Amino acid sequence: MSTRSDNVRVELLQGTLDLLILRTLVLGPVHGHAIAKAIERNSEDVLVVEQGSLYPALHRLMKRDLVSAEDGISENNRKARFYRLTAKGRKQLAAETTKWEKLAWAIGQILQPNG
Amino acid sequence: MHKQTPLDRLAQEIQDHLDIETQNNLDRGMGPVEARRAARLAFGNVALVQQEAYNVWHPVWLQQLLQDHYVSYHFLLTLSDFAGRHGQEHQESSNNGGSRNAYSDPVQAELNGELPHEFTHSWNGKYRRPVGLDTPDFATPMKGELLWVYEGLTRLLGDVLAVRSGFETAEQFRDALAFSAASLDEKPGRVWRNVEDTAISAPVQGGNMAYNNWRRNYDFYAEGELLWLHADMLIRKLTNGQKSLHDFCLIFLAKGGNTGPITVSYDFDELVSDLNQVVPFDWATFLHERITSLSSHADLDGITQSGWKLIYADEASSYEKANMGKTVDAYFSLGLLTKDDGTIGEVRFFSPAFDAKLSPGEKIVTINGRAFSPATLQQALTERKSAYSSSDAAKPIYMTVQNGSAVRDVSVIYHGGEQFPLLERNHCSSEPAIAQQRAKRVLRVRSIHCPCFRH
Repeated sequence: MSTRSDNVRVELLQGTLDLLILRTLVLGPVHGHAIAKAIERNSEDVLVVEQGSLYPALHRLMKRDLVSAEDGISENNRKARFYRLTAKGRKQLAAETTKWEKLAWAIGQILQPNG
Repeated sequence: MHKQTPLDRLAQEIQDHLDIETQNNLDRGMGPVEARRAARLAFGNVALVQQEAYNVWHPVWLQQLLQDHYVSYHFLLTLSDFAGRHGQEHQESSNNGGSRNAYSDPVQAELNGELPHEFTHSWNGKYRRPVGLDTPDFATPMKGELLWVYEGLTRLLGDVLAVRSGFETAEQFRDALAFSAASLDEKPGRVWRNVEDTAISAPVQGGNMAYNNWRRNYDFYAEGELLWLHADMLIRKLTNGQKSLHDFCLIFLAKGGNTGPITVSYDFDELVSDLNQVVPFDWATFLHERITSLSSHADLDGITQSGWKLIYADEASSYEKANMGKTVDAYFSLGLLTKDDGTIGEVRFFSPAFDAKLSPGEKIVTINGRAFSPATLQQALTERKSAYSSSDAAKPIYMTVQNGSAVRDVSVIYHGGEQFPLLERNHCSSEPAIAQQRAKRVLRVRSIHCPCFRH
């Protein structure tokens, strides 16, 4: 994953992509390509997912029962695999979001103590 | 019934993903090629993605526990006229190279046997390795005396795989085998240097290729292929067709059972022991004779016993033409290879060109009174052929040869016409004589050990 604005690749914290995928699935089942596009769009194109990396991440989430997969028809009438948040995944998202907010706050405190 | 797993649809899913992205790019105004390329770039390495997804469900430690020879095998293939042909084997991947048009140009496609060859090395070479090449560290020198197994057996198995997997046709394989067998058979250096010595000296080979026919270089590849082909025929004969080299491979390539990616070394004695497990025979003598003794001719028994014979015709096979490229090929006739400007690259020892004292580095300026060109060389060979009706046929081939600023006249005594190796079906076979149909005329037959003569 990289940020597009300064054209410098940034290694994000491990697990971040999984969190972003879980968040993207909150609104309903989505196929892989649409997940990549949603992350880009919702971050105002700051975060660019190397699209292929989504799939190992989706399989990690499936293995942990945080996400399930089902076959469906995409917006352009093609067969596609849709990913859905499970109840366990929804709980995990809430827990991870809280953790992330704490982490972001703490790092912000250190970097900008007077901010 | 096959149980569905999460990985089952992954390849199709990735393809669908790339199709959508490509369509989006087209909609944004990109051309078709650019749109597809941009989609691939945005996606990243497809093989790596598949591997990482596989690893989610099959952790590496589990894969090793289940003892797969490899989980996946990756070919890296560079098509470039600059990088050229190359192949570097590893156990779970290989780095390969061909010309820019290697897979689109029919002439270049004659030479596309390297992927099956390097793939075969995953077993023969990386898994089973000669003890002298299985060194504990980089400071210990490698000893390559068994390279006729490492490379020779791989060459045979890789060539068979190339045909079976569609990289080559059976005819292309036979043309290539005819060329390498004839090259070994017409290699004067075999009277002083044995096959094992070419293997031992492998690390110091290379450099200027002139007079390689006398010095010999990497002959353990092609010699090994002929040896293992002969061994295959011998096993079939000794077992009345019940067994073949395949049975040897089942033993040789399965030491320790179905293991994970490890190296298991072997020595000469193990080869003999494994062959004896297939069928008892004096394999030690068989192998020693072919590897350590000197012989003026190559072992063509594997070819003849499999129903073919080496012949020479007056038109080169497609393989030989592709292999020679722009080199002017009169190797099996005059004993010469030249550039298209007449500069001599190779002179075969004891050939008509050698007897006329032609040397690599000299340049043939004229031939029979005409400026040198591939066509005038071909014309001269035809004009001086014994069967040619003109009275000129009995004359030598006249050349003017330049060496630096010195120019001299040379007479080459040769009346055999053009000669190029092919394999022809033995006459006792019921198969059609494919090579005979293709060759304009068969000029001479090198091997006539047809099995039916022995009854």
